[in-house]
Order: sequence, then C-alpha cells, then structure tokens
Amino acid sequence: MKVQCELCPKMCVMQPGQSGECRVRINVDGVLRTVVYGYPCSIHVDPIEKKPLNHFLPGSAILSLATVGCNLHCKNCQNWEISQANPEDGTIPAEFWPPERLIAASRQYHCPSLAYTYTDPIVYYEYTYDSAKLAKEAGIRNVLVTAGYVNEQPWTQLLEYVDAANIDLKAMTEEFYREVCSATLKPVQNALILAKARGVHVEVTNLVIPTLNDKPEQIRELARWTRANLGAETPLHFSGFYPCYQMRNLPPTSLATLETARQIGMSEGLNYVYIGNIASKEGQNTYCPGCKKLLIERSGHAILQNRLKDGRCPECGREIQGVWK
Amino acid sequence: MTRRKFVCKLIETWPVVAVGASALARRASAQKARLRKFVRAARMNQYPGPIKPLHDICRQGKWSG
Repeated sequence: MKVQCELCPKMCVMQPGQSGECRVRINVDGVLRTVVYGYPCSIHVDPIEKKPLNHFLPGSAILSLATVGCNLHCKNCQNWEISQANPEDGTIPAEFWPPERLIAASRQYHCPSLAYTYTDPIVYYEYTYDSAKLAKEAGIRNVLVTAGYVNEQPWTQLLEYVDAANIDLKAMTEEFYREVCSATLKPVQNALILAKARGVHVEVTNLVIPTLNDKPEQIRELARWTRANLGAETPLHFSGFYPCYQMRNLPPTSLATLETARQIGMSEGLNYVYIGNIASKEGQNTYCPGCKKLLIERSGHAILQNRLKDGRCPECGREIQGVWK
Repeated sequence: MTRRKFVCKLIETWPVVAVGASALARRASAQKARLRKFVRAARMNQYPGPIKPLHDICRQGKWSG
C-alpha cells in the first residue's frame, strides 16, 4: 500500500520499501516510518553565535545535534556529507541518543538550550518534537536551524515547544529555490511568518552566492520582505558563500558584497543586519538602533563585551529585541 | 472550423491542457492534505546504518549551523 508523507510541501508518495526525498522517511509495509528517530550522527557543544543567533542568550553554549537527511538538495550545501547521506550507506555512523539522554547531556555540558541543526530538523521531525517537548518541561530551551520547508500543521505543532529559530531565506525567487534547492519559496515565507506570529524569536539568514542572489535589487527585495512581514527588529544575517558540493565553480562571496548587502538591509529599515562566515569588524557587532552606540562586540563566535543592561541600551535605554536571559 | 481542423487544434493544445490539469490536481491534493490531521511517522525498530559512539561532543562541531 502506498503512503504519503505530509510533513513538507514535497508531499512524497512512497511505494512499500521506498523512502521520501529526504531519504529518512520510509514506507514499511504501508506504514510511514522515520529511520533516524533517536539516532543523531553529530552532537556538539557550540557557541550559540555559530547557529547564528545574535539576539538569543549571547555567549551561551548550545548542545547541537543532527541526524542524516534533508528535504532540500541545495547545490551549495555546506553540510552535504550528512544532509545528502543515506543512513544505510554506512558512511556516516550514528549513536542511540533518546530524548532523555539529550536532556541529561545539556545539563552535563551546562547548555541552557538545545539546537536541532546542521541538516534540517524538519526531516527528523518526530525526534525533534519529542526532544523539544521534554527539554521544555526540563527548563531547557529549544532552537531550530532550518530551511523552513515544512507544512503548516506539523510546523505549528512543533512551534509550541520552540523558543528560537534561525530560518534560511535563500532568495526571493521561485526560480532560485527550484534550480538551486529543489524546493519552493512560498512555504518558507509562510513558515517564517507563522514562527514570528507564534512568538518564537526568529533570526533570518541569507547566504549570498555570487551571480545567483547577490545583486543589490535582490538583496533589497529580501530586506524589504523581511521588514514588512517579520518587522524591523528581526535580525538578518548575510552569510558568505564558499565553493562546495555541486557548486565549486563560483568564487567565495567577497567582504565588499556582504558589506553592501548589510548597508542595503539597514537602508531598508532593518535595525540589526549582520555579516557571517567571514571576518568583519562592524558586521558582527550589535549597535543600538537609537543612539548607534556599540552594545555587543563580537569576534568570530566569541563575545568580547556585552553592554546590554536588562535587554536595554545602557546609553539611551532603548529596548533591544531578543532573549537575553 | 472543420472537424479535421478541430482535431488538429486539440492535438496541438493537448500538452498545455495536460499540464494545467496536473497542476490543478496537485493543488487539490495539497489542499486536501492541509485539511487532514497531520500523522507522525512511526519509529523504526532498528537503525539501518552503522552504530558508533559519537566523539568530541564537548568540542565545537565542524558542520555549519
């Protein structure tokens, strides 16, 4: 008997024995099963700035995990060795980590939050959901790092337990999503709007790829959409591309391009626009949108100074959007 | 229009009609799915790949994100 997976907009229909596009959801004798539940292939304690999240518990450590698999097939994927792997290939080993063990490890490593990241937590949805629920009950916060390619119902159910999310907005055209990622734009926009509406702390990342989405008008459109739909207080990260996977023919993004993108983002009224994946002095720091004074100074993923006082600018008292404790 | 011309026209436009019909069917199926209650996937009893302890947990991951 055929089954249909209704988790993401791909809506894969699978014959018995067949898996979906994500490679980790499979039809076993007419029953839809997840093969990666409880089997992460990677767990690490990362700085939260690496997600990247700049307005959520800055300077804290976050227990970060992933299973193999992804519902997108981005030609530029930086983690393609795990995101595009089949569990049965034998190339990527995994270990049994039930949700309870994740909670215990968060405590052991002094991590106030758990990140479902590296690949896409949507494809290991049930594991993410159960772990997030348990973490929430234990007072540990949950962070998703995702492409946001998910259907409304499962997304809404998961958001109940999510505190923060960094969601990729890869470009503003259906053509880009189709050609580069094997996906579509509209569901991602819906996921962003829904997360914001549900009170989740949302930061947006746009990977700027030379010749594909780096034109000033493309950046402007993305910044405008972010401001109009998510608000001026939403942090936006312009990330540098490095040649990898199936996109080794393009050069890395230059610092000048990312600085231009940042300027465009701010000129469109966004209060917090960052540069990532490349060393940048001003592009990593948080400044007060009111008095323009430095609030959080960063170097790479490290915090050099945090001048916020109870989430406010110490100079002008302006409230800075974020989760600070 | 003669019957022959009509049949020729129909043959010419057939791919367009087919694409349109398939798009409508896909949209209807997506609509139907949105109304249905989301059903979780069940767990597998066994992981299909190799099992090995994960190392260097307390160190920063090499993966992006």
